Amino acid sequence: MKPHRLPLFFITSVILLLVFGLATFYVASLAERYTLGHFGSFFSYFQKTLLLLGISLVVAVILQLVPYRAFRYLITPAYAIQMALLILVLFIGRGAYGSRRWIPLVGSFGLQPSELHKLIVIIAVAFILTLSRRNLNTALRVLLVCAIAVPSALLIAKEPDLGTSILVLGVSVIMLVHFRLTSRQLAVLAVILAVAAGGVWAGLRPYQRERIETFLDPQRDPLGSGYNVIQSIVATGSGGLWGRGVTGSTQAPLSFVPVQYADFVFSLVGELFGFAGSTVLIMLFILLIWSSFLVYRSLTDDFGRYIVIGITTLWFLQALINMGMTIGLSPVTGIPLPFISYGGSSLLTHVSAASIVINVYRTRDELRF
Amino acid sequence: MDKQQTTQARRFLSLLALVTVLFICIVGRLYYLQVVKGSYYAQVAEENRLRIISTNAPRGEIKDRNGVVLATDVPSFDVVVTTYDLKDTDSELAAVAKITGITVQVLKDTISKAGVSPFTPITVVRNVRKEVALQLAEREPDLPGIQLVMSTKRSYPLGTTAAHILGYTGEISDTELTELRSEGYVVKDTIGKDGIELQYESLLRGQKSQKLIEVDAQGKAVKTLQEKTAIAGQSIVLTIDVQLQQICEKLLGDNKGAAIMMDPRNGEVLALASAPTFDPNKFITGISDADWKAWSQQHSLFNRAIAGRFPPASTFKVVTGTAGLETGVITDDTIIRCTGGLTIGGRLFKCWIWPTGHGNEDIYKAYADSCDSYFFTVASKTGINAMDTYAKKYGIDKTTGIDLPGEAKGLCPTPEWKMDTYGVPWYEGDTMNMGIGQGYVLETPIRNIAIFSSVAMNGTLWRPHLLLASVDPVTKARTATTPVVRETLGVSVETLEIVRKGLNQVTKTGGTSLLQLKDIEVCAKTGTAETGTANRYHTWLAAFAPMDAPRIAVLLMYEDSPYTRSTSMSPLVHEMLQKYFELYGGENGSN
Repeated sequence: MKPHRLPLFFITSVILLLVFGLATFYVASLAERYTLGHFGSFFSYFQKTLLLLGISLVVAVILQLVPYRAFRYLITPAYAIQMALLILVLFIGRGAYGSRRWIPLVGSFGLQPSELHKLIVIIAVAFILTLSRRNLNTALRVLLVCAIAVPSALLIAKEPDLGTSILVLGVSVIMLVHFRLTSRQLAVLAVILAVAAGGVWAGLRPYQRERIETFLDPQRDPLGSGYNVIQSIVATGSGGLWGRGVTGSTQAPLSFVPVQYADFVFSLVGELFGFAGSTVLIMLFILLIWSSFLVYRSLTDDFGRYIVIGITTLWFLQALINMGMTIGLSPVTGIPLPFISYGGSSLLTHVSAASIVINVYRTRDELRF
Repeated sequence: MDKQQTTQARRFLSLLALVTVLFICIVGRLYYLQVVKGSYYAQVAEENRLRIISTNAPRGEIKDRNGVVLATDVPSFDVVVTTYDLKDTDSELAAVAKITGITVQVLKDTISKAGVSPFTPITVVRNVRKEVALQLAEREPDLPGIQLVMSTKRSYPLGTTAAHILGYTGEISDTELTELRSEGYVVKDTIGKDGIELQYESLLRGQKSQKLIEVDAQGKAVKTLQEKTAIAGQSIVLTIDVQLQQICEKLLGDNKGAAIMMDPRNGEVLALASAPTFDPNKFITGISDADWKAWSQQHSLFNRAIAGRFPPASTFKVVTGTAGLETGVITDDTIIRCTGGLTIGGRLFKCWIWPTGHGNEDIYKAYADSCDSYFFTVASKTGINAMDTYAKKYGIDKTTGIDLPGEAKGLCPTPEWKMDTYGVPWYEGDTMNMGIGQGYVLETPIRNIAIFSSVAMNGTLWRPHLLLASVDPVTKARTATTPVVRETLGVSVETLEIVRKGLNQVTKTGGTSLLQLKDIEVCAKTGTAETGTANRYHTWLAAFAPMDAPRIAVLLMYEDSPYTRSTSMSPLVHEMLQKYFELYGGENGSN
């Protein structure tokens, strides 16, 4: 036994993020009670998050039972099941504004297959990239990665959930970048991606294009699609240096920022805890990715390394895009903030991802299969 | 680690370094939003959730001295727009335009003129008709952001009565708004435009109610944070007595002219009428083109009583007599012979009785006969400088300070003025013409009655005023106007005694004897001014009574009179005096 079987920095950062998220909802529910005179929706988000966190932790413990190398044998059926669910959700899914994103389960709870699918794609891509090398040349591997990522992305885009779709592609591409590609091969990949991006833009629905255009100029239509961003910026900015806390916050309790509990949760942090609190949260994310890097550095197994690269990439992409959209630096895409945004599937996915990273670290020196 | 893994680790490290930089960029952006612009966004957040709902305070009532209501507020409906709540601005405003008959452009202009935050409701149409209100009420659920609200509108229950005193209210104009925004006026507010409504705007207006409410993102009120109830405007009690006012208006009838009744002891104006008149209600409900045309042609809105300037004619003989007596040119013994006129500088100045004559006249008889020859002579002997001095003592060139907007000054001509205006020198004939109130001299009716009041009160002019008191609508606390002395003549009591005696003689003979009251001695003077058109005159009759302790001064004046002789007005002025003494006690009555 080595002295450290657990990635302590990493675990600490994950726990702090989860606590931060819970604290945010709790304080928001107090602010809501202060303003409205009774507990409202934020308190129910707090309660549900506690429950979901319990479930997620059970899943996380279960994930520790299987050494990550066994995922090589589980990934193919898991991928198949996920693809089936992604197809199923297009028929029976529920979601806001006519989208079909959740498979309804119990009560208000539902499963959002696209969330978990991000993790499945990461493991699948890691699997492809580490398949026994003699059988495959580089081009074939890239094609295989595309064969995994592109249909997934298309199905998710169909829901429609453009943000997650782009995320799946983005994570896959960044994992590919870490494959042993030469600079020339990277350049070819870049050209292919550019052409693909053009194709995607052409295939976008008007409202999706509008979101991107709105991002470029939020004041263009202040009461239309720019409204969310403006309200989000207002709420964030109103927090000032130290935040408005329980008694001063108004935008959250009066629900001026749409979906402030989920996609725009960062503006909630900004309003409640101010620049100080927001900076602390960003520091926690920086801690998360660098502690993940420490895990990565300790690994010699490529499969494990790709998994950690993929998961870390997923986190920083989501965090950057989400925070960026909250403060008007990136388009509104509906990507949640890992560990913080309210949402069962999202929480389950990210806690599972963290559990997998721990698993990889813990079982890194065990015998290879 | 093999070589490939090292390359990969380097790539990952660079990527994460880049990501860290991006995170720090977010921190930088947050610093800008939260620390640099924090207070700005905090304020925007406040505006997000706070709305000030303001409702107009009831405007104070205007009553006559006996409590008869002359102006009051009655319920009406306004259309209010909250731009933030509009879902489809164009189609909703088009709907409002269609129902109210006001163009979309006007509505949009009103909204942009308001210059308030999108959360503040803006009144876009005031006093909509009942049918319009009903239609709008029906459509309201389909028109988010548009509301029909209860409001009030001004009403003048007695219609044209005292219209020129009351004035009227109207919608605040752009220029008024620019000036008065700091006093809390907003677009579409009602503001006094003329008369008492304008003069005492600040008393009548009251303070709007202001409710600071917190709303959620849907604009639903969550709670009221602060509430300032409306403070109703002060009620105004006028010195006017509607019964006397209506007598005056009846006497003016369809003619042009002015009638004033005033208490010389304190300056309280009991009646002040100007004809033709108008119905101020039409300013609230809408003025038809026909009305507007008629009003414009006849200058109906013009308050002749305070702003009309006319040659005072023989009523001016009070001034001439005073000047003559004070300068010693005449005494009450001085006899001047009237031969029907006198010739000065080769020009014949006719007495009105020409070609006959009045014969020997002292000042008393001269007043009684209104002998022009007598006053020509006095004026001529007194000279323009002294005439001018006494005309100014009587305040011809000054306002009386009555509490109404738009009071005009008379004209007190001087040689310098004539040279400046016409480029010709002053002739003695000019002085003589001035002596009988013709030529260049001009007076307003209010100044004319002020002159008679001064004479009545031994040289003291109490400032004519209409505000008897203002009354707080809640506490009923009454703030009464303290009469103030506006001018003192600086003329000896003896002189004024002689003038009064002369004016009393006026009522002893001829047509003016119809002025006489039972047991009450009346002082009066007529005046018939040439208009420049043959056989058309402005006629005056001013009077006060009782002679020894005057309590009432009256004045009746017709512009372009139906009478060719002012003495014909005697029964009318008699009626005014008679009514006063009926109402306020007869001889040495208790009032």
